Amino acid sequence: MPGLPLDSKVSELQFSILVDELKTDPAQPALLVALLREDHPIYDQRGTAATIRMRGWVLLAFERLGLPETALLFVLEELDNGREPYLVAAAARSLRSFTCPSPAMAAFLMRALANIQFHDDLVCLNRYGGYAVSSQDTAAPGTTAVDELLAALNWLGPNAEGAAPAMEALLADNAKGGGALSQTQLQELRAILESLHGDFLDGIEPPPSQCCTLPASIGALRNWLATTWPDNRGHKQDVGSIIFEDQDGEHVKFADFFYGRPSVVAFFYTRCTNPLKCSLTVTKLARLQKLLAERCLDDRIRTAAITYDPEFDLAERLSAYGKSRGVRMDGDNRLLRAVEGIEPLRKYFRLGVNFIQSIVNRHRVEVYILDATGRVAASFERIQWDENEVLECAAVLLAKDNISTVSRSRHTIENDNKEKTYTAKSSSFTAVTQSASSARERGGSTLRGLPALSIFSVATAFFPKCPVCWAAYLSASGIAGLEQLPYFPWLLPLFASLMLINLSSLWLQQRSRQGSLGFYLAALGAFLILVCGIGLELPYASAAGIVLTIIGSAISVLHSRYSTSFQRSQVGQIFPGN
Amino acid sequence: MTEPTTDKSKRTSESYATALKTATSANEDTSKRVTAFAGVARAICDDKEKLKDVINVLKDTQSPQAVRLAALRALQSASFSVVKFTPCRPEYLTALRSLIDDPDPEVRQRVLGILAREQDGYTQQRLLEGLQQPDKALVPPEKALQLLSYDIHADAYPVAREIVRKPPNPAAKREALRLLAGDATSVPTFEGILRDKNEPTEIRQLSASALHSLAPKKMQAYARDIVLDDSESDELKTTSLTALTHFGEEATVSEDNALQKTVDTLKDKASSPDLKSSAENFLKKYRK
Repeated sequence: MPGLPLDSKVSELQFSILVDELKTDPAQPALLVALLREDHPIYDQRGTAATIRMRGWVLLAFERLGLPETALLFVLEELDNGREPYLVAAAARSLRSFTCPSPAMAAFLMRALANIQFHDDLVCLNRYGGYAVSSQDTAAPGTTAVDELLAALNWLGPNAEGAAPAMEALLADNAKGGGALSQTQLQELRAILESLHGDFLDGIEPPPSQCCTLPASIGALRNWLATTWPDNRGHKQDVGSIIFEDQDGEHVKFADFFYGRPSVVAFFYTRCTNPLKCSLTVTKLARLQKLLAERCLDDRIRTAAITYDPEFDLAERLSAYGKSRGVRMDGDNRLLRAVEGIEPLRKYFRLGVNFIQSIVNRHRVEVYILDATGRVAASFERIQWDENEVLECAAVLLAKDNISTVSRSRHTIENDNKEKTYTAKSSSFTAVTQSASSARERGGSTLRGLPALSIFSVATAFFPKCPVCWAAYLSASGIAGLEQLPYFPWLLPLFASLMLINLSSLWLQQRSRQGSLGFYLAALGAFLILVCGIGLELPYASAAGIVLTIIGSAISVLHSRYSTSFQRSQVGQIFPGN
Repeated sequence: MTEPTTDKSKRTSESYATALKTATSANEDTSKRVTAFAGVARAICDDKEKLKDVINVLKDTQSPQAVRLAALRALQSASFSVVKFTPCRPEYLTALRSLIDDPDPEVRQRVLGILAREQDGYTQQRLLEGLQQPDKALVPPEKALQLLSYDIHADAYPVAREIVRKPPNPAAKREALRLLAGDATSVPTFEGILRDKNEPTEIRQLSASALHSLAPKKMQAYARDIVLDDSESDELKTTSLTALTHFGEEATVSEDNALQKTVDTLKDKASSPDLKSSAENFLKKYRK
């Protein structure tokens, strides 16, 4: 249908005709794939049932055209977390038109079987709409989602080998009376297993390795720390002023909550009827919060769940929803609604959602990691995300931000004192060397004890808080393999203790002579390192603490030398010849 | 199907078979068939033939209505055994869809109810069509709206708003408002109805409940005005007091002397026991 505007004014009849035309044109798969995006304007103001009918018809179009790689993720998404029999059946059927069956697909098919087996229905895949109103209709014979999934497992052939244990478990479950498959379906499943065992006994291997994994394009859609985040996601100044209300009714701006630290953001809404999407997403967010706390990262990485439905999901609803799923809710972990509406966020994140009025008609699973400037650094879309994976990604982002902070500290110290140059990566050794050189230039005397005073202060100040940062620091030192050294958390208290021991020795020294400036400077330095730098994480506090400690130590040592020399000269004058 | 391995299970299986035979036999007396259907639910999904027999009775427009409804009840009972019934579910739902146009209104309505609770897309499509084109209506508009309200994603809000604007009958308007209680964009509609004393009390109460759900802060202001207004009905005052009691801002309400005084009077002098009780609960929470 040439010139048909693809928007909400298109009737379903026109849409079905358009798709029928596109599926006969091998040059147009991109148009069909575009119609699978939830945020496509054609789904705007459509009911959920209409959206299901339309998406199902697009998926089925690939049966004739062949499923392109660019559409594979949408099919896998439906298998991974879909609960509509028509869409799951359509996805399973279109999967069979993919050129390269892969062992990785077996897990998705088994997951779909688990998701749909108790919600199956007779559907008609030869007719738009998919509703079966008669099981005797020979013109439009019906099938079920489970039947289509079993057919897809059969199509995988030896590639389904990895799913054999799951298939056996399903058979066992049904034998005990816990499953939901019919006798015919159970026979089908047994036949698939027998075929796999037969292949094994005959020594038939799965196809060559290029088919063993999913296409690279799948990975590209779940990229972490994307350095080429599409610019059309929006700029932070567009969203910084967005006002949220949290689960306690408190208002907070986007900039105030999401700037300054990395954060993990999930999207959901309380009226979602698919338990594999919003409810599971928020429950997993709660689990992620626990993992962050176990790794002592909960005060350095924020979490948030933002509702697609801010007009309905008021504070009380957010609070109840979060509580019932074990979500931690405090200053750094919030459930949020955008007070003025979801549109700016929708553009900024390019959210995979569409609406009829304010009601969501369809959305995808989506979780994002924002960096400390509120920029989207990583996304987890469509397929169920793993909490540990997200955690590691956020931790790496945090480590990168930390190294940037240390580099900024170096720059500040260089500006403050051009005679001293410290580099973050080898601060302890370089600082000691430079300080010793400076001391020789000034007084020509050896500053014995200065390395002992300085090294523990610097080591304490720069000691990383977690294994990821440890690896980041060591890798930044540029020595190959150094980052493989294991993380020793007990080193920090050891360094700090030794630092305090040295401070105590300084105090004892200053008691026996006049002048305690050195001790007080070193004590102030220790306070800045331990309390302000490590405890309160104030910027530049650790660096200032190191400087004061070294200066105080130098003064103390020099003063000691001078006092000793003066006393000797005094004694010499009093007792010549000694 | 698991073959009976003990005498007891064999006897049970036989009795089910006998009951099913009676229930599905057109030659048997109606009351006997209805009684027989009451005992066959557990056996319906034993094999495809048994399921087909029961479905055929349900679909047979020549069978007495009582027998057809008994067959439907048997299928519904069987569906509660989720695991056992699941293999039969696709055929069951398809059979129900085929009955959406059944000439018997009772059968039609029961079937639509089951399918609407399943959030069946085909059923929603047909119900909406009936609301938009009355000559295609399967059930009265108020019933259609009630059935569509089982699924907030059913795309029923636009037609419900139209029915509120131009109701075919009072019951339809009431059901349309009930359905719209989940639509955040309908807040102005509910505000307008709540303010309009010419609207029936039931409708205004419904609007108060909806407003309380969708915009609780706005409802607080309206609730106060209603309680203070002597001309308002006891039912509406009761709803308003309940909203204030459970969700009022404590600091504001506790310091509202005029409100406190009025509620005190209601506690002692209201003729409605519900209103008195609401007033007592309010004062328990907010009395200084």
